Amino acid sequence: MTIDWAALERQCRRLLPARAVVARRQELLAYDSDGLTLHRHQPPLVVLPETTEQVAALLRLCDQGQIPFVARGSGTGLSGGAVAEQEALVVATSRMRSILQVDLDNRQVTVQPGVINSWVTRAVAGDGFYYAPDPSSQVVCSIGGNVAENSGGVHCLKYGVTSNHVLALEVVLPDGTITRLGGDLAEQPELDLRGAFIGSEGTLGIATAITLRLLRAPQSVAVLLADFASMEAAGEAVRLVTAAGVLPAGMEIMDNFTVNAVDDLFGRDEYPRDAAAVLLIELDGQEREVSAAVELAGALCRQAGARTIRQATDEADRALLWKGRKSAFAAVGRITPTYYVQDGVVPRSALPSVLAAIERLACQYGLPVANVFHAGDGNLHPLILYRADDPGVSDRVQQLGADILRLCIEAGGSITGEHGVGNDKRCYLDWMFAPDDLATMQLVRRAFDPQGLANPGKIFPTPRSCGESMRRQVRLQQEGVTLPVAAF
Amino acid sequence: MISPEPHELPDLVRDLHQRALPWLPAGQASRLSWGPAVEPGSTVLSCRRLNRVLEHNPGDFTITVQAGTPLMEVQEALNHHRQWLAVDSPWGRGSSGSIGGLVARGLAGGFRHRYLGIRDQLIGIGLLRADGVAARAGGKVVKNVAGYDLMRLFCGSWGSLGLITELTLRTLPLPPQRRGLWIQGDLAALGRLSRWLLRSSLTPERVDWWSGPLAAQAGLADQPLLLLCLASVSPQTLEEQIACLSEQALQAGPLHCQPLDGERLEALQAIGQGQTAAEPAWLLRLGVLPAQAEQLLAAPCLRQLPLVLGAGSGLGLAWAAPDACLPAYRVEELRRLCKELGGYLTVLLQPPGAGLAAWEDAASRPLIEAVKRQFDPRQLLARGRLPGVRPQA
Repeated sequence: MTIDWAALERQCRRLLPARAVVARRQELLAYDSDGLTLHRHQPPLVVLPETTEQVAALLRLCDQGQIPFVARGSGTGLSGGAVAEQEALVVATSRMRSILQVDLDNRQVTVQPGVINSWVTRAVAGDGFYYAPDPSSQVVCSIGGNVAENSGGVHCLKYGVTSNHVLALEVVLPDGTITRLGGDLAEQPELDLRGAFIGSEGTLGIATAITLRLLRAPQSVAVLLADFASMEAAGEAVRLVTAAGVLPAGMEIMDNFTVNAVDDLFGRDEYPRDAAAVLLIELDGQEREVSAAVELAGALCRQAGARTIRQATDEADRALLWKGRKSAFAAVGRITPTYYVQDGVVPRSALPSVLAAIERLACQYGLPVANVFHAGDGNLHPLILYRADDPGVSDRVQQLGADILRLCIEAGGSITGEHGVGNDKRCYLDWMFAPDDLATMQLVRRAFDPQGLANPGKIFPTPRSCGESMRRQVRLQQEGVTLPVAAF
Repeated sequence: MISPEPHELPDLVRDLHQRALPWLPAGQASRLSWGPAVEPGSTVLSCRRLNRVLEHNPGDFTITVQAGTPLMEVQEALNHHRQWLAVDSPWGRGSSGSIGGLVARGLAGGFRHRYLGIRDQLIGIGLLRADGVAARAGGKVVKNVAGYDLMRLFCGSWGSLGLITELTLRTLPLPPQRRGLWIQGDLAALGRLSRWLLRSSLTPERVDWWSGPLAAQAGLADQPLLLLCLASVSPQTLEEQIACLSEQALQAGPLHCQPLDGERLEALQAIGQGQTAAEPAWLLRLGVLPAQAEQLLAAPCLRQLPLVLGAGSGLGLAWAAPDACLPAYRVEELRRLCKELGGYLTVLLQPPGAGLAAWEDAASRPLIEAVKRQFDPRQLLARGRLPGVRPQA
């Protein structure tokens, strides 16, 4: 069906203030990709509603005209989820930036979807509370985007991901209906559609108000930094610490490549340049508890072969130890102008073997790979470094990325831990799931979005975008296997 | 009730589907009488023969079990490795029921305070759809956002969407040290203490409100109390926390504190979980905004009832023995009160003929029904038991 975008623009202008409709080519450029710049598609029209009612009115227009739409938060996603590959109306929530209610007595806060992640903590920190999920992009990414992707962060080992911290959602469904999923209490006597919505990557509707659970800031926090002569030794330290019954708030590892990139960025040797791996462990809780855990974790790191251990308890020192980890992507980005970050997960016990296999693959493809990862939960973030102007590099980069994800699945893991599938990894989803599994997931989609207008083509393999999946489907069909219904 | 062998299940479900026969998924069938009444003529399909621990990876802190495995057996298997599933056993004496039943009801107990609910421990699911097709979602790693989250959709679905056959859950190291504390006395003073505690940096495993009648059942004075369970890697920390709480209690008002060793704490937790109670006439799931807990406890309609309520979550249970002669209108009054206090009331057990709806309509009822139509187009599964849709009288 051909969409009359000029007519739609006129209709949008009747619903929204002039500044909330973006149709000029040069302005639309800002919306041609998210944080994953490998895939770029300029949308025909972008709208920036400010209220739930405006979102509902826009989605009613889409419903009536059968116009696909793509929700977009801050555009920092790393799986191409907010990109309008096929012609679609982009509904950006970046002007929905109000904190609607703070209820400290019940430890919850309600925000609009465009509110930036770190603003939530900033709003309640004075009273000793915070919002736990903390993606690396927390100073720019939006809560609406976090809900769509079920984002994690460095502290989700102990505190969980977005889904563990959302109590209720006001959602505009793809037909423009406004509804509420979940409630003010953590358990409601209703199907947990809130749980199904979180992490659905914009394919079930648009969240327009989000009630979040707040946590009380811990009394004491300490950070340990240990460096190791081998990645295996660092992995062993992680295993020993968790097996001892200590549950750190976060455990992060950087490899030698990243360590050197960070030291280059800082212009000083913050981390030992010859370390094969640097392990950061954050411990929090009651003061005495933290000092006992620090002592124990330190001893276990030494037992695993740590060469040196640094420790920080006051805020400035802790920030210094963390600074390298938080700057890792930027540091690596200085080496080559572009990188492709993957998000595979493996069982923690498989980390050493999978990392060694990634290194072999990197050599084979002739592309440098830096490894920065959440060691506590086995979530890898291999960064494949490349120059976009090298001929044919894009295919090679994507093939290497795919090979890494295949390794993760073979180790019993997942293709994505926190970035989402988006358009980037949709052709690999059927490596993890059988056709009947995908067909069952599509049942949810059909209930929320019978016309398939919300973020079409994302998450699930589509015949158009996934040649390999298609070939596999044909083979399976020939073998008489039941296949999922066609993805939207 | 039928309890087929695992390999018989898919054919059996396909057959029920083809013949359009209504059926009800069940685990150990230990709590079938909870919630809306089972429709007469429904076949109860128990997965009690799906009772194996399939895979425990102690180093990864994950376990995969068949859904009919008794919760106690899962805990015992984990205990060998000093690990546990951080959930309470469901309320009631006798069998703890199956892990699948626990997930299908989705009701967490007091451990929610520190560890969140059973929905938050689920990382993978295997299920049989209404048409007998087997499907999976999630996986075996603790962090995974690939595909839709059917784990949460099925958690608390009361069997309305399919039969849960397999679950992968995250486990936790058993806390090396555990101590308890009860604090009893004037309700207003306890309220002050509870508010202080929830704003403090202390991280107890549970902080449960108990009503006076429940305290009396435990041999204590008939006055409300707060029961705390504390856990840490450091015994000194526990001592410090108990001292700190005792001091705060003194400041809050006329309150009596009693530290508890592990054994005494467990005995009290068992009472709170109904493990010593006779089969009640009424069992009610209550929810109020946490800040309103004190008001709920002060309500005249609750003065006679044993009640346990999470101070941080506002979620709990109240029950009444048959000889308490609690009339249905009192329960309706209590439901109205819970709603006024920002929550709800679900009727898990009620006397024959009381006629109360187990739950009421949710704001998203049309969408809930749309999901149901997709998963069970013939409306054969768990008829009248769709959470968020008020069952017909």
